[in-house]
Amino acid sequence: MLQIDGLTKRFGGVMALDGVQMRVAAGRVHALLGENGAGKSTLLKCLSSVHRPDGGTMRIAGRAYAPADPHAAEGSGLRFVHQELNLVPGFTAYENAFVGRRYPRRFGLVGWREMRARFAAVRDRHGLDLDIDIAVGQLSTAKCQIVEILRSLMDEARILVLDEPTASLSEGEAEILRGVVRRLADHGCAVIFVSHRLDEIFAVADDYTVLRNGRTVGEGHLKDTTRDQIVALMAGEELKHERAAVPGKIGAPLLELSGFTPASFRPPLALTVAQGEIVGLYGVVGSGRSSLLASIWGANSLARGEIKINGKVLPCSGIADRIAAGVAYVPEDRRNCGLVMHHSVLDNAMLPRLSLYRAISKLPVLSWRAARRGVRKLLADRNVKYGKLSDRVSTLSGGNQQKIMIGRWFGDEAGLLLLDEPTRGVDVRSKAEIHAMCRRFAESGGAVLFVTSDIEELLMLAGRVLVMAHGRITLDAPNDAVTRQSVLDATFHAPDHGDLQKAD
Amino acid sequence: MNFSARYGTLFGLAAIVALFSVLSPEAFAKSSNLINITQQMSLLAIVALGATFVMSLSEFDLSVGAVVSMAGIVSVSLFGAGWGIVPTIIATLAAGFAVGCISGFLVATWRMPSFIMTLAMGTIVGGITFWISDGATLFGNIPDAFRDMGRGYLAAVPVLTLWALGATIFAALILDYTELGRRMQAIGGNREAARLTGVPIVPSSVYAFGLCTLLAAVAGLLLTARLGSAHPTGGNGFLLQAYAAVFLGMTAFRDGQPNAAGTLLGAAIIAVVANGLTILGVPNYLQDIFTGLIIIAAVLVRNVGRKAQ
Repeated sequence: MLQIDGLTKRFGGVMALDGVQMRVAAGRVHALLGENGAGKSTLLKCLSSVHRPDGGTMRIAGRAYAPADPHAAEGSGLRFVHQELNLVPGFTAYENAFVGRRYPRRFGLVGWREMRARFAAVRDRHGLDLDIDIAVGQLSTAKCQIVEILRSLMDEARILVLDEPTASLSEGEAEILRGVVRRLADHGCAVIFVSHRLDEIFAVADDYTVLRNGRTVGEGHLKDTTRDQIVALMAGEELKHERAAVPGKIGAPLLELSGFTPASFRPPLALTVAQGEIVGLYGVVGSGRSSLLASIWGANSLARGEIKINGKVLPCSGIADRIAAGVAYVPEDRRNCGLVMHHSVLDNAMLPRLSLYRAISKLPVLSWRAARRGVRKLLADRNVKYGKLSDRVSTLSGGNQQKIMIGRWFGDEAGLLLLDEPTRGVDVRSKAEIHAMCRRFAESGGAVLFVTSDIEELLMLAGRVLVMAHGRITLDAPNDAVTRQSVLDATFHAPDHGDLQKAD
Repeated sequence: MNFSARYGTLFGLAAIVALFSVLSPEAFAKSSNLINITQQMSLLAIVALGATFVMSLSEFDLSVGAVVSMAGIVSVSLFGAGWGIVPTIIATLAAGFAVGCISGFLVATWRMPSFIMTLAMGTIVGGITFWISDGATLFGNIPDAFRDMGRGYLAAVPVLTLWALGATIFAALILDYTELGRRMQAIGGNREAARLTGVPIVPSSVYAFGLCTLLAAVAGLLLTARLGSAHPTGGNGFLLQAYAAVFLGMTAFRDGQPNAAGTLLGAAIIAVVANGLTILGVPNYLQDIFTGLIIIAAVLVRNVGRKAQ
């Protein structure tokens, strides 16, 4: 269906694509794999007409394909679903589906009934369960992703490109989405599937292409390969996956929660995290794990109950108290909640601890010289790669952005580090560096509490594993006492009757 | 950010000055006129510098015009009541500062749209100003020492020009060299990211709005000192021009961020165009059209430049 040969694209002195070849067949799910920066996004942007390749050929069903604009790409039967959702929250699914499309008319006015009927027909054709009459803002992320996919399937799609469709989904939701992808392929559609989750690739995809440094370094059928071989192709060297060790000695309790609820409709929780521990918190989206983390950080004014840090009772909300107590928090959503994207690397790196860079220690007046010196050292220590301190932080790769977000909070002192999805959308190497950062932090007497949707990461990093479901902690065990199976069991733990009533 | 994006607006001002100098070599290009322009732009610059604080939060304060008027009326009324110069100035500045603090507090605490909130605040302030003055121009007995703050020269430089320069330095210091300024800009850049990073939103916002109307009150005092009277709507004209100056300034020096030097430059462009066109005998309404076109052109140039990057 799609045939790419010798594709090249140069940005300045950098060869983003340096001879990519790829064959995508109809009726099959094709995994496009590679570290961040390997050329996946550039390749997709060549397909979608954002970039024009410098050399090589693309063919669709045997015919040369060189789209001039998004309409041309669409006209050739290509559809793109991006990682970030592009939905109007206040619109229903079918209203969203017709944004940017020709509305059906009735007496010259918008034909609402036909709009709904046409969208419902697409939904039913793919056998999906979706309420299309409520605003998409009230749907779960997975359902929104399904709305995006359905929208792209309103007219005949020959090639569907999904760019990390499950990155923000939990295991259960991702499963639903993978089912959708599978069905689409069975209907004859060619699906290009980009994901950082290898377990998922093996679950859903038939074929693969691995890119490294802008080149195709491997392709074939997934059934003929192993995950270790794929990882080796991506990384260029064999990476070992090991389980995190359970720490032998644990220090004094750093965080103690009792009768703590992130919101009034959630059941109260008890939890203790001690110095030297790395605790991983796993659960589906909506299980309450992210809101628990944000509540510990004091960012949620609805939180109630008792929270102690270093033995000191803190008010239920108030970020400043947490900072003073040596806690740091890194939210999941870098773009919207983490960094000021159009501000410089320097501005972002110094923001949480401005007072470190004072000209005179008693006055809140900054010394830019001290700031530049301090931030340069901080970034070097965290192995952050950047051009100039004055560059926009948005020009950095996701991994480097994440390293800034974590690294900017601490010097050498220990404390409690709260991380929400610390390696989401981050390349393999940065991921390893972030994990190493966490381990060093715990070894030096701090503690890490992190949320993840990636079961592999959970088992690799966490010395102690927590699972949340329906606002409750359903599993709390040392790493060596859990298996993938037991974690998933706890994840899909049936809700108690009381929980459901409270959730209303 | 490249050289032309950084200094393009500055060259724009130079080009406008050069153009008027060619068109009117004997009247416009005279040094006395150029010095006069720095005086004409000074009050606008001070109000606009105040607005720069609020713009750095990505908010608006539409009460600045009303606060300029209020400061004039309040100060003349206090002089009329027999107050001395120092207490009058302190009371007037405190009143101005308070208006912004209230707006900032309401905007930050209740997440009210600042546009509407400060429009309401400006209307209230305007009403109070009318109430105090009975709608009349106030003359009162303004002390000469007070009037000297807004007229005369210091070593051939108009006093008002010095005030504007002082306000620019003040604003630049606050925005770029204090923790408060960095926090304001972080909030303006991404409020949620700033909040979760522990930036105190409410105090930072209160200060930003307070500083904004504080500078508006300074401009109101200086306007009164220069005119020797106060009119209940005398400062209202500053509102739109002040934001025009800030927007023009955002195209200069920084990558689309409000900044003190840029705002001064923006005020200069507006003042030079007004002065030059007046000297050329162009009627007022055409001047407004020109000023509007310059703002559109500046924004267009910036957006085209951004796309090219």
